[in-house]
Amino acid sequence: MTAQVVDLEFSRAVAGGANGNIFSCYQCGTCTAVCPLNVPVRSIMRGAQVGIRELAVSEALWQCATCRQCEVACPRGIGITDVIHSLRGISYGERKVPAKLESALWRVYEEGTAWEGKKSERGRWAEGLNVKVGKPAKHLLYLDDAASFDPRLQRIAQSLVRIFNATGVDFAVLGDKEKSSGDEVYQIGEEGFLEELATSNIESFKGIGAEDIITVSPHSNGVFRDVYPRYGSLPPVFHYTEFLSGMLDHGLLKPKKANGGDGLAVTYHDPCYLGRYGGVYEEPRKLLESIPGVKLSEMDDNRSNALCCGGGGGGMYVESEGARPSHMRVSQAVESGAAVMATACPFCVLNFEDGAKTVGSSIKVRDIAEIVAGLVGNGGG
Amino acid sequence: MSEDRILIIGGGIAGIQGALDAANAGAKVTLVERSPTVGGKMSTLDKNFPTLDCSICIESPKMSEVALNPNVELLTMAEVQGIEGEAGSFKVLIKQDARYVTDACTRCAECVNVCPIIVKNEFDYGMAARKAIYTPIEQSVPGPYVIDTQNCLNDPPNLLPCSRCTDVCGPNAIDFNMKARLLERDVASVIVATGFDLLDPTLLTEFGYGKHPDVLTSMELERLLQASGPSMGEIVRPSDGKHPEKVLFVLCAGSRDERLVKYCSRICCMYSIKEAYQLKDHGIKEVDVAYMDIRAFGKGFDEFYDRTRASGVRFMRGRPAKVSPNGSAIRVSFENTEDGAARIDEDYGMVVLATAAIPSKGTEALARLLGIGLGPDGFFASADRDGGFNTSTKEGIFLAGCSTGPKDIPDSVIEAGAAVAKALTYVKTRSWPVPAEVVQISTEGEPRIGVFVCHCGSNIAGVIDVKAVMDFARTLPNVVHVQDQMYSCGASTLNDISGVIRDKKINRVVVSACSPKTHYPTFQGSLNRAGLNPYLLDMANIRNMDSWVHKEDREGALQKAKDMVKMSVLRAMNMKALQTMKFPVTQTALVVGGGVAGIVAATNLAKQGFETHLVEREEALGGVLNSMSEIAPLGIESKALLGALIEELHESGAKIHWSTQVETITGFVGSYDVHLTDGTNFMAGAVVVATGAEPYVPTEFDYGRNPNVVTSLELEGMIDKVTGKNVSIISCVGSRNGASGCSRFCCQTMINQALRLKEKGNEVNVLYKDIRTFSRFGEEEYEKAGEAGVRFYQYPQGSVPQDAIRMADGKLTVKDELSGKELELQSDLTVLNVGLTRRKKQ
Ligand SMILES: Cc1cc2nc3c(=O)[nH]c(=O)nc-3n(C[C@H](O)[C@H](O)[C@H](O)COP(=O)(O)OP(=O)(O)OC[C@H]3O[C@@H](n4cnc5c(N)ncnc54)[C@H](O)[C@@H]3O)c2cc1C
Ligand code: SF4
Ligand code: SF4
Ligand code: SF4
Ligand code: SF4
Ligand code: SF4
Repeated sequence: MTAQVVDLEFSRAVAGGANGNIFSCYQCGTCTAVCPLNVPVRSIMRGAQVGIRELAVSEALWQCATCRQCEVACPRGIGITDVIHSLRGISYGERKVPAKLESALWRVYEEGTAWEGKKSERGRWAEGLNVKVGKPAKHLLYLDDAASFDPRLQRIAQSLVRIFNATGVDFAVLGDKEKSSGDEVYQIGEEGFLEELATSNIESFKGIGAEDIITVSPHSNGVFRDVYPRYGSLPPVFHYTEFLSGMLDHGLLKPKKANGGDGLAVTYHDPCYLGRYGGVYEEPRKLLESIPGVKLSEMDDNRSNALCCGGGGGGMYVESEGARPSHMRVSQAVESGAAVMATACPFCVLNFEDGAKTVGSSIKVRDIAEIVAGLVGNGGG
Repeated sequence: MSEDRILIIGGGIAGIQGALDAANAGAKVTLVERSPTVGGKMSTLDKNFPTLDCSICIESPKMSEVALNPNVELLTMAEVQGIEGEAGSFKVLIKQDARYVTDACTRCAECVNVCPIIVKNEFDYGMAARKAIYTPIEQSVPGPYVIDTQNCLNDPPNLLPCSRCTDVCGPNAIDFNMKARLLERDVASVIVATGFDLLDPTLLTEFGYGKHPDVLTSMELERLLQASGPSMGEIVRPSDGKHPEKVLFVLCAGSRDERLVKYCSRICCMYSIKEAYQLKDHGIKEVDVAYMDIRAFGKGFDEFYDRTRASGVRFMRGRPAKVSPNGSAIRVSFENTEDGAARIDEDYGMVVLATAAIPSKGTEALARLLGIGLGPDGFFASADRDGGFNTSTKEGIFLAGCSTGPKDIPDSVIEAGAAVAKALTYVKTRSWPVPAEVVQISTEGEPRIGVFVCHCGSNIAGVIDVKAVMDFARTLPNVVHVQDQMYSCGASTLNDISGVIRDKKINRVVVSACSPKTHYPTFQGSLNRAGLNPYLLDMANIRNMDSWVHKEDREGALQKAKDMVKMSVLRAMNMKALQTMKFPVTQTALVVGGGVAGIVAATNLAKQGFETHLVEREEALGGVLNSMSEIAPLGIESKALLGALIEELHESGAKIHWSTQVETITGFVGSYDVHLTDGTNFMAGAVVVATGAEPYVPTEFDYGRNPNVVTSLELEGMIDKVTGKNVSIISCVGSRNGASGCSRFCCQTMINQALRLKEKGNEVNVLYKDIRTFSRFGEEEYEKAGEAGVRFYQYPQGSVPQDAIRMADGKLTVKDELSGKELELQSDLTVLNVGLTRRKKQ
């Protein structure tokens, strides 16, 4: 075997893009063993540490859902997703990106959306609803791509509109003018385009003059909070569960008794970007528990240990062979004895409905917004 | 009078050994232990690594001795509540809780049979139950049982609810009117030996403790292993009482972890290896160990590790991510980084967590009370200019054992001795009280032989039919008394022996138990106290030489035991009383070698008031420390430390002989005739050899011919002048190879040097086998080196560096275990990290 020369240049480049946080990894393998998508994380870290390209840069990089389960488990507190992000940037620089993700990038470029859809049809989800579009308001409701275009996920946005209208919240949406938050662009590491997109988004947010931005998807939250400040200032960003839980505190939201009657067992799945990224664990639970008749049953792995649905980090756009983390999570939900699996993220909803079908479970997958919407105002059921 | 007494807080092995050392040196000792028995963790362990000696068998005689030594005042169930004054004259306030059982207790256990309250026994780490009246362990010292009024139905003074135990107690030993006592003692100095605790395993959520009954801690397993423990030494699953087929040990459970305990707990590698070895020995088919680095740094440790590997225990490099129930089995997810790079999900029948060692409960409060500092790791802080861990931040208060961080028994014992040497420097008067004169038993006339047969828990009785041995002994000539005992060496049983000797006028004693090497002096004590000449004792070692080695052949073992007892009895018949003579010990000490160890030894001896001579071959004191600039991992500057220690030496009044060697030493114990090469002659009562060791001089890697290859010692002198950009440090050069074991300090040195080089802007590679940064703050330094960007490469554990690493043209080639690849590294300067070897010419 001829020896391979270590590529310190490469190692330094990865470290540079990851806040230097790669060398104190002591190669324990906890990350590899915990990863729901079977990413060989430790090997990637090894490749990055000492400069072995083929270990660090491979297809596996794109399997990662950036769920941070590995980070929570890492005894040395390594920012593993920073390393993955740094490596993806390098990989993208070499044009090594899965085709599906690249076409999503092109769509953002051309249609302003990573999800399948047309610029001109972005606002259609709100047709027939009483919504201010593009007008000044106290709150801006931001949907992002999936909830704007996917018929199943549009229901989440529509539910929020219903809740807001029933409780008298002054809000507006951007309609056709809304553009992708750029989460996928960030995940791919296309920093130049991200800057352009972010700048234009910040500009259009200003047009509404809102006090804060309320997001439907925790993934938008992630980029807004962690990346946008590099490009300009934003009003405070909240996930809708945080906003609704604030309304509960002020007595502005009083859900009625759930349809399932007394003792309806609901379990809650913590979306990675809401929980591990945003640190929001209790607000969604508070919302569910505020519903008379609902009994919250926890899954074995909850809060910071929650399993991932597989949707983050571009995962919704990449075919992952083999590992289907959503199946495992649905099974856990079923084991918890719940009839309803609640979550608070569009990607999670799609992945779990899919998962439930595959494992043949009749568990109902619902976004919290959908559950609450049925129980406010005069609407009923 | 405060000048004659030392207070020792904590009665684990460190506190016990400290008390005995100080008492034998003529100091009075007050030993304060908060639990109902002395012994600490050691008394609950099964065997000790790496020798596999029975733990309690070694500790029990010492435990008994603290209770019996007239210089030691033993206070159990006691805690220090206040302290005033200063070094040389402290006044301490001690509160001792009521035991509710008096010294009249005969340990008959009648009370336990009737007590209706059942709680978990904390001394069995919850693996077994006890009553509200109980004895912590069989060998408890002091012997009387104890009532825990937290759980007792009575709440003194209200005694209405229950009188079951008082009703059955023959000697009327139960006294519910006993009150807590407040005691005041004047002491010259204090030793804190409060030991350690273990991390609450339920904090390790990912490791499944509490979710599956067969996930145990190492301490719980120790109790299962122990012959007198809850399962009588059987390895059984708490869930179903069956033997597990496959067991996994998880190392570093909570240690070396940002979120819980950052440091390395230092003892868990070795005790887990020991336990794994024992399980294999108990016939468990598959025994796996998940480790990150094997920190087998002590004498004989690597050999023991190799032996355990060879016995079939599988070691896998990797840290489990998740342990959870899978039906009745336990599912473990991990990556075996030694082969492949993917998750493995495997089922085990039992999982054992080597939980982190943490400061013992109440450490913070005690530090506040005593006015001494704590380190960032939560253990007691050592004074900066000490170099060791013995000196607290307050004068007159010293530290020993695990109170400054986890360490093994030998290290704890050594520290106890060192702390005593320092504490004694404040003791002004010494005395050796002569026990009250007892009427001597006549040894004339017919021998009257008493035979005591020990069960040693199940160590002996588990194999040998003790009853049969007793029956046989009764048939032997001149035997007038035969008795069996659960543990003959327990403090109360030792007193029993004395009583029986007196009552039955026994004038020859046979103890049929264990090794006279360890226990002869212990039983001699019983003869002494009874007034019988202590040389009229014989021991039949039916444990080490019989029950331990003939487990498989009970019949044969019984026959052998009978033969051994018979031989002892016949020997005893012919024994004569011997008289001892007393020779004075010359009150002068010689210390050979003026390195850091010799300097400290001489200082302590001189400060204790002994005339002391320190002999150093070189012109300057300091030894190896002279060629170092910084001491890892504490980052102490060598010059400053040496300066401070030498100054203290000069102040102590020790006589220093520079450029001198010992020419001849003749004479005998307590009286050596010493001739030095500088012409001095004197008599010495004690000689301390502290001649150190030699840095290994490599022949590997072209050393001596290639100017770009230096030793770590040479690097110390040139670290600021290194010119090349890329520096590589190779570990274990000359160490961990055949007869030479791990040099144990060099990993720390290597990490420290790597960090310093990195801070200067070098690219630094470290090529290692295992990173053994077990010292206090060592692991923290290792992490820092990583954060600073030092790159680590692991070469195969089973190899030596010169075979695993090739060097040519300023490049090193190594098979990196962590990537599985053969890698080539730039190395402008290659540093051979050398250990110490024995001096060649001596
Ligand atoms: C599972 C396991 C296996 C081990 N196996 C081995 C082995 O095989 N070989 C080996 O060499 N080492 C082994 N060890 C390490 C060994 O236990 C320690 O080295 C030893 O116990 C240290 O003794 P110590 O006296 O310092 O502390 P401890 O044994 O902890 O004793 C401290 C004592 O102080 C008392 N105390 C604490 N605070 C106070 C206070 N405020 N006032 C009064 N009293 C107080 C405690 O009650 C205790 O009795 C093992 C450890 C564990 C956990
Ligand atoms: S869990 Fe952390 S320390 Fe362990 S291999 Fe992964 S990144 Fe490294
Ligand atoms: S972030 Fe999640 S998906 Fe990505 S490597 Fe870590 S555990 Fe795997
Ligand atoms: S307290 Fe009394 S009954 Fe109990 S063991 Fe002691 S002597 Fe026996
Ligand atoms: S490396 Fe340290 S903490 Fe880990 S098991 Fe070994 S001794 Fe314990
Ligand atoms: S470098 Fe020294 S301390 Fe480290 S493993 Fe080798 S011999 Fe032991």
